[in-house]
Amino acid sequence: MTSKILLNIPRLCLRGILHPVINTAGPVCSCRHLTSDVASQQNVIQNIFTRKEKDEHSKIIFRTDVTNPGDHEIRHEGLLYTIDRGIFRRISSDDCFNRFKIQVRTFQEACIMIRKPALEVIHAMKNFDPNLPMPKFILYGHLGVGKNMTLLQTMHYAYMNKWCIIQTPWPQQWIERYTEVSKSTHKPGRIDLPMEARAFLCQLKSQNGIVLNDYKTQYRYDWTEREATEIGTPLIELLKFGLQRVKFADDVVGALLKEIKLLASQRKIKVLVVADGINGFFGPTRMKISDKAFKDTEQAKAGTGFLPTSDLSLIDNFKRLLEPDMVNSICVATVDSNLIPKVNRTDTITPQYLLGREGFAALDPFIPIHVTNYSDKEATSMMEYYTDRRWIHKESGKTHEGRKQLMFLSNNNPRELFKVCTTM
Amino acid sequence: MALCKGKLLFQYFLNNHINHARFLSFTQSNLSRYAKDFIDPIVEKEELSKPLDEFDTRRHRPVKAARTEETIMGDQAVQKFINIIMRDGKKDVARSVIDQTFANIKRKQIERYHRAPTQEEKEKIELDPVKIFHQAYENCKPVLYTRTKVHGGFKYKVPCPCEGNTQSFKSMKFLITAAEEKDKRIRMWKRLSLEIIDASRNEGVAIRKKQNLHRECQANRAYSHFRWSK
Amino acid sequence: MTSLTVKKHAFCSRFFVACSRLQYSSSAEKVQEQGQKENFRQLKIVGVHEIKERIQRTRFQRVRQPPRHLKMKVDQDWTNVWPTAHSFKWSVVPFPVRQGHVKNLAENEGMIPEKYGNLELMKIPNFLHLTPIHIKKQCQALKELCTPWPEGLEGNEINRLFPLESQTNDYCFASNNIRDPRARNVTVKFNVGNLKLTKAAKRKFLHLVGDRYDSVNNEVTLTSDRCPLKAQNFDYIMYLLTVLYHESSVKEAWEDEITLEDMSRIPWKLSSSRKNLVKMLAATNNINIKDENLTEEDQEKLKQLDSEVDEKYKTYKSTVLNLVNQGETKTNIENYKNSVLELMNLPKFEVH
Repeated sequence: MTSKILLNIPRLCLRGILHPVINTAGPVCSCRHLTSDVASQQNVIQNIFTRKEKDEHSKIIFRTDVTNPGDHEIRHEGLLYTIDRGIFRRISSDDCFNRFKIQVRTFQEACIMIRKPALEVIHAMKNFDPNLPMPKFILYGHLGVGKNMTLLQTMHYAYMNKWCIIQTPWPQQWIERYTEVSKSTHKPGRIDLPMEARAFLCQLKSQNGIVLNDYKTQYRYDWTEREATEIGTPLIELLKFGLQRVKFADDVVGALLKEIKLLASQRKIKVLVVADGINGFFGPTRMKISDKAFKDTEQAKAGTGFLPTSDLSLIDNFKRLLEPDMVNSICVATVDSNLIPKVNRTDTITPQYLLGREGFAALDPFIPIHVTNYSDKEATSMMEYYTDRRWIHKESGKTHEGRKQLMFLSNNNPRELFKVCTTM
Repeated sequence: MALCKGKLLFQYFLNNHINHARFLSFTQSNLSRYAKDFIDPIVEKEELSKPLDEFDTRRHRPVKAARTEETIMGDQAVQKFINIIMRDGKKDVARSVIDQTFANIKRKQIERYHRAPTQEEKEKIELDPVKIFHQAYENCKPVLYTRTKVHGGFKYKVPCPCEGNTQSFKSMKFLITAAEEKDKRIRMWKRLSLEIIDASRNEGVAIRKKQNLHRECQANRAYSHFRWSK
Repeated sequence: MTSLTVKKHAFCSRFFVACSRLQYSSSAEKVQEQGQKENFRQLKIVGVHEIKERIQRTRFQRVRQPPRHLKMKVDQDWTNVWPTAHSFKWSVVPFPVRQGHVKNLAENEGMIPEKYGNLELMKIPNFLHLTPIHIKKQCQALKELCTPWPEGLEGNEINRLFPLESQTNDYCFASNNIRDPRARNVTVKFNVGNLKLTKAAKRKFLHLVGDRYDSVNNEVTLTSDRCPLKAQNFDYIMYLLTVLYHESSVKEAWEDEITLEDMSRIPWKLSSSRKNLVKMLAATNNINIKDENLTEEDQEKLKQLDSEVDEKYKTYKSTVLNLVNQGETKTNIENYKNSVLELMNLPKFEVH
């Protein structure tokens, strides 16, 4: 059936619509460092979309000099602030914030946008009840929407206020990409990942070097007949022991977390528990029991199937932090649809669906926080930043028309916006 | 395969006997896949927004799809480069390799830009990856190349002037093979971006390949008269 | 073989020529005979002879009328022009319309054919006889045949007195067969509230009914076309309704063995959220649930907490149940978040 009815329907070229307009003149003003009078400048940002005269020079503020995350307020929303590179290096360990690290190397500064979800968490971190169990903030949202950057901002706040930060790596590191497997020395039936535990200890050391120096152990740990950690040794010594004797690294992690939990309950330190993709820690792992590595373990008796996450001592130690007797601390975590097996993956991003029944039972009651795409204001100020850092350097990318098209193409998704701007 | 050869032969015919101007362009002007009644698309956005006249042909005729160059990533040489790097007809893979290559070049250049201490040095650094690619591509263009010719039972490598499509193809091929010969453990886009940056500064393996070709032509200059013999 | 047939053919043609010659000669003879009887025809020359003018008989030519649509007025009554269903007539339809396909430029100058003599337009059904004015007119005509609605049956009263609503259709034809297979269909609607069912029975009834239940107005619609006659179908539906009613009030033995995984809606008593809440409250009161040697005082306190939970944290309870059982909509998540903030004694983050 090839017949068509034509009733005054104009046939147009649809693909031509996305063509950038290059001829429209009007350079947009470059970066300005200003801190005062932010409110009036925000009006300018809002007005950029109602502006009609293209030749008019606009002054857009996209940065703030307030670098302490504790001082940020809602009026700073949509502005960028710079994290000291030394601090950033300490906070971000080997395998975290990889995409952002590339950006930092390119732009030669660690600059992130102040956004509402992070402000919300920091607000809670400032005035939470230390006597109640740990409140858990679960960030959810589509891919590339800025969940990780929210984590970074909260971690920055915690670091600046000398909190103890416990950050788990991307769960696939523990449940899938293991390097070495051994039987647990502490409890039969558990499985240790010594290399992963060592990496985790390294990270703890770089993030909490100062905190761990100040406090001492309150339990005694016997490792072998000869080796033991007495009561009153500094925590950093315990940590160093774990780094030296990789065999006991998993147990050292458990001991350290236990000590930190005790310190928190004694109101000596505040703890921030950070987990990117927390839903990966529930349900089965991707480790096949039939694999050679599990030959001598107890799990091998089952023969087939995947190893449950609760059998890994690292994950078990981490889950103890989530129990209700953990006080004077806050947990910030994200849920990620990438961690669900590809067969079951859908567009749903909501926390309960992604956590599953087991995860929901472990984490409930939690506080869900939706991380959304950029608003128009935020996208504009981000593009202004890119222009300042020369990521956008073509004239067509600096015009009002061009920016509108960039926003349209990326749907204001932060990751997509960065990608789309690479061609500009 | 046979079909492809036939197409090439036909092109050769067209090139030699009908349309010499086609040497200048990469695209096929003939052999269109559209029927003759298809009209060209409107690419300008301003033109699109204008209302159509009642008797306008565009109301009643089918329209061709806009070319890739005419949309946001518009560059003919880059499109050709994508086609040359493509294997097994997987164009999306080729395209993503090139995209990542350009992104990496841009990252490298911007890093260099921000590290440069003075303003003068900063202004010298070229940030546009497409321009860098063009520079590399121009630098890699050989002037001469050799053709094999059988004369009296012997094969001779006859130096010939290199121009037009041959020249541009050779230059792109130098860049790609130079990148492919590097360490296989590194991603292709990384290798290629390093190679392009090097070539834009007249350094690197691709440039050396060009020079080697020139040297070979120089060595075989005694046979250059074979070019005119049958 | 071939040579033989050729010869035969040659022979035939020769024979035919001979025959035709014979015929010719015979006709010539006839003319001669006539000429002998009458005179030769004279050659008449203009000016010399008197020539009668021949009357040229002109053929009657019908004047083709212009198409009807050119004569139409703007404010005409379309129902008179197109009273019933009819295939497309180019001369009557006043608006321009094109239909069809052209292969290339050569065919019809690349233009899609107009309505004049356009077969493609005649093939497809049109609805030119079903304009709003048509329908209005027909309704007016039918109105005379209707009877008024009985008094006192307005509003909800009719649902109370007549809880079942059955719907059938009759069809009339002008063809040789007056039966229509659709006439046997019966649809029965009723409100579920009118059935006397317990809570469990109602849930089971709705499970059995499936998608025939409309949750918006709490109605069930049963249709049947399995029997050849209308009355049989109606009886069948009545039978079906009886069976459904009795089946739903049956309780099976396995129903007591249902676990949490089998339930589509999780009850508060068994939910993990309640357990977590109790654990949390115990932890704030310095009671370790895992500890096996709990003092009696603690155990009593734990019991007290356990009994208080349901009453004290009503908002949290309702929001969690909504989240788990109804699904994660935007409002459900927002409500859950607010209730947890309240539970955790956290200040709300408000934007001014």
